[in-house]
Amino acid sequence: MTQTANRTPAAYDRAPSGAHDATFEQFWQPPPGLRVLSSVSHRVVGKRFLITGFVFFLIAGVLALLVRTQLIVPENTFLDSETYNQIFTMHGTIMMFLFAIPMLEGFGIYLIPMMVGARDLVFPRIGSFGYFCYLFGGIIVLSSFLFDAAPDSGWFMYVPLTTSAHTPGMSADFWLIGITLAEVASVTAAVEIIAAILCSRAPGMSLSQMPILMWYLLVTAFMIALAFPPLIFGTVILEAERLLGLPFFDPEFGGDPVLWQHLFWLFGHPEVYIIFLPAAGMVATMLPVFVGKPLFGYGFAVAAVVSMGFLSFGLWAHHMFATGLPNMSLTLFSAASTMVAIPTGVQIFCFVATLTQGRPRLTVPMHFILGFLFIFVLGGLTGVMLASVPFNLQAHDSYFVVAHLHYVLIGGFVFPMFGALYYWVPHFTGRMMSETLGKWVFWLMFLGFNLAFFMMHLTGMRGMPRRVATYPEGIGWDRLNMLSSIGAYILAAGIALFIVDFFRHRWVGRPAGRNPWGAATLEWLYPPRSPGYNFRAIPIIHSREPLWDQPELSRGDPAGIDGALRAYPDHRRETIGCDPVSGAPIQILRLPHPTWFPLVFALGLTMIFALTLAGLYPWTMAGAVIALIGLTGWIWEPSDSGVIRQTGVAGLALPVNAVDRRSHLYVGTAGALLISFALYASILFAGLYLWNTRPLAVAQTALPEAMPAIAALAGACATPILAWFARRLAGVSRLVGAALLDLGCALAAIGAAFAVGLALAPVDPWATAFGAVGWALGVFVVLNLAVVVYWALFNALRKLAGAVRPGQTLPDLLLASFVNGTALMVAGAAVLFLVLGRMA
Amino acid sequence: MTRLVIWTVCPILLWAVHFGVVFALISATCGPRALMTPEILRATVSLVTVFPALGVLALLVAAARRRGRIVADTALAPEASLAATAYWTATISLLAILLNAVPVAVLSSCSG
Ligand code: HEM
Ligand SMILES: [Cu+2]
Repeated sequence: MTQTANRTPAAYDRAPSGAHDATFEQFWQPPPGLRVLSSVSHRVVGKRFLITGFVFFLIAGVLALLVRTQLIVPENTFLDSETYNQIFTMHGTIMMFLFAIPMLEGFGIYLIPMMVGARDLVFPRIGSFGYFCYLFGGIIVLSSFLFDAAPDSGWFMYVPLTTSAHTPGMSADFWLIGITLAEVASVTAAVEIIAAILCSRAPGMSLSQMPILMWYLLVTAFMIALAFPPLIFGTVILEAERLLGLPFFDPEFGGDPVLWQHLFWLFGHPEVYIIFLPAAGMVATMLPVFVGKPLFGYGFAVAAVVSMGFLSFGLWAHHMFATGLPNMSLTLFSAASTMVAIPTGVQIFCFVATLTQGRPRLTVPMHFILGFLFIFVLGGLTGVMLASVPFNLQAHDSYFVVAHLHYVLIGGFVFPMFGALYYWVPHFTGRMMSETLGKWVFWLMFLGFNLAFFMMHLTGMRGMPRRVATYPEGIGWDRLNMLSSIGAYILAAGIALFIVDFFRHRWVGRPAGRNPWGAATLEWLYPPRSPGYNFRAIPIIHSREPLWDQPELSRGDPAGIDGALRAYPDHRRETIGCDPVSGAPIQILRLPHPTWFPLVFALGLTMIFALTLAGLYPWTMAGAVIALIGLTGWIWEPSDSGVIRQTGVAGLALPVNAVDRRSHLYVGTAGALLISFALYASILFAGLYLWNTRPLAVAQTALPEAMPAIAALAGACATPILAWFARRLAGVSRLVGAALLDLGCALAAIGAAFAVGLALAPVDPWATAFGAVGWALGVFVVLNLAVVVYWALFNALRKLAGAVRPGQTLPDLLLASFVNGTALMVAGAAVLFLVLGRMA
Repeated sequence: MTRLVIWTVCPILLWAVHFGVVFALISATCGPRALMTPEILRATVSLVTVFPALGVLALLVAAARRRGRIVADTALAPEASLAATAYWTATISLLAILLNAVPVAVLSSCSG
């Protein structure tokens, strides 16, 4: 305990929940036994994501084999057509939502801190929370098999097929509710990835010195934050149509089934890039290692990634060429589809140019990289074919599309992913997987894949539609289908061999030793497996390839390498927080120790979703209470901010959890607002769309009340002012006054919420879809206001309860910015209520 | 360096806004409300294309000049890759913005 006694006294000289009798190693130890479920470490959570994602991959793979078995011969009766529909729907759904996205999040969560030089993610609890939402959501989707209610309308759930009239059972509800819950994990992971990459890099790691994978993940995370909201909104209103009978998609009441397609593909096309980009980033990380030269054209590749991230949003309607959109719009989307080929090509060019710079070592990961290049380029070519409108109309909904989609998804994601698993597996087990077996795995997968899916191009050209349970004999489809199915079995054999290799290597694999591939990035600083804190001291970075260019990092005991935060005066988990652009250290980030609250919160949320599914609506309140308890316990922790500590580099002392717009919490709040704005924009899009295409129904919609709308506008203007003054008062330590202003802010938000409700009172959401969208907008801004109320009350309570010391104004800064965003949305809604309805 | 990041994001953001506006204008023209004629649409789209295109062009030139200066001055070397990024995103965005306007320019009517 001498260390405690010797600490220099500071403003708030106490270390909440710091383990003062534990050593550094001890308080980084994951909790033992079942209590490991309370662990929030990115290493534990990342591994959970990877394992769960892989299990879902296997499940969906088995479903694919059932599909191929059914199609192996014409007029097969192995599966009846109903089961067949369920199986391909679940295959697509699981692959897209429960395998690909979580898998890439798993890689991100596991690798980001190790690659940027942090000891953990900046929001480890959010990672843990997201994992449980994903797991429970996935279980809900899967459990539909048990109730014989597996969704069967295809992975994109087209309306009107999925409305209650056409799908009366529960199957669509399982999909909508389970997937929405799993989506929570995606958007939370997005915020977490953005904040971790921008705010927790090692001293000196500027944006231009980040490992290239970080750029890919950063762009992907922004894409997730913008692309998932349209889908979330779409699933919520489709579920509302099914449960409450609101006519969002019902043409009889001025709804439009095509609206679903817009919302779905606004998500769905970027989704393909969301899956592809991180995989390409992993290729860009591994490839230079095996060539022994840095990536060719780093700046070039970053430009390609950033522009691809944006451009991929401009393509959504190319999946809707057959819905009768005006030709001019089609051409617009066709143009953007062609345009996105340019950055994609630039990127592939960077890879190929890197390859030509040296003689690549043909390791197993390298095989998978080459396989990726081959398959993905072919998939890109068929994609360019599909981007032309006439060809598209021909090939639409044929097996040509199935072939194209798998060339892109398996080539663009599955092959790089297997390469990455071979490459990073020593981090999980400390051992190398077999080079010999690995090559077998590769060749089985590669040949099997090409056999299976190349043939599907041909079956498609011969006119075989997708999603058919069987086909007649003698029209030229038999042999091709037989070959496809055999290919699929060979591919599956490759995957099975991978699993064998994985379990085998845990016993007999060669111990990896330090930096087994000769890599350049920081995660290889320690011999795998690195200790749970990643870095004993956080090294200073001057190069994009630190392990190649900074010899001091490869010499001697990695635990002895010089760097920041070697001392741990408060016995807390912590890491360095940096300026998002320059990478200069600006703060010490306190990280949470193991906690159960994220699990409690996720359980509460799951109860709400599952009980809605079961039709036990009153009981959802119990879930809400549990969720609220979990959330409150989570965020009610003693604040550390204001303490100043030595970092141990160059005499630099930094504040803990600085009150700064560059801090991780501010960036996280901004990320949450981004998601909120994307949801808001999705609702506006739906409203404008209906306004434009259904003028008659819009004219029949009653107008919102003007006076309450004006009152809502006033309330919206009042909240930011109150929050601003609360922050000022807290800044000069007038805590009681600040608490009162917080309460005022909560009251103003409640008032605004009621005003929104009153304004909408004359609008009957059951009468027209346009009115229903108006209500959706109202409900959404009211939910945001509810967050403001909760947050303002929480801040007030903490000040009154003495949990806040003078100068600890971070919560006030965060609340103020969230209030600004919310006020903007409420004001926008109020103005629309006043204007848009009246323009009809 | 912050400036280069802004230069990277701005052009492509302009593309996104431009795409949204062109899509909205086409939808307004070709929807049942037919809020404008194809002629007015063409004029409006030209107008909303020229300004962002010029803006992106300016950023392109700025990024190119910055790259030139970096080559001359080794102290700026760490920025070199970001300058290249800014330059290439501007180029891609400029092309993409012009391409957004093509459908309206070449098609004489909504269906044509
Ligand atoms: C493991 C090997 C795989 C095989 C053998 C396979 C096979 C198939 C087949 C035959 C279909 C067409 C079903 C039909 O239209 O009747 C299909 C559909 C689909 N697959 Fe795969 N697949 C595999 C992997 C994947 C992966 C890795 C992904 C995504 C990451 C994926 C995503 C999809 C999607 C989205 C559909 C469309 C489902 C629908 O029409 O609703 N597949 N798959
Ligand atoms: Cu697409």
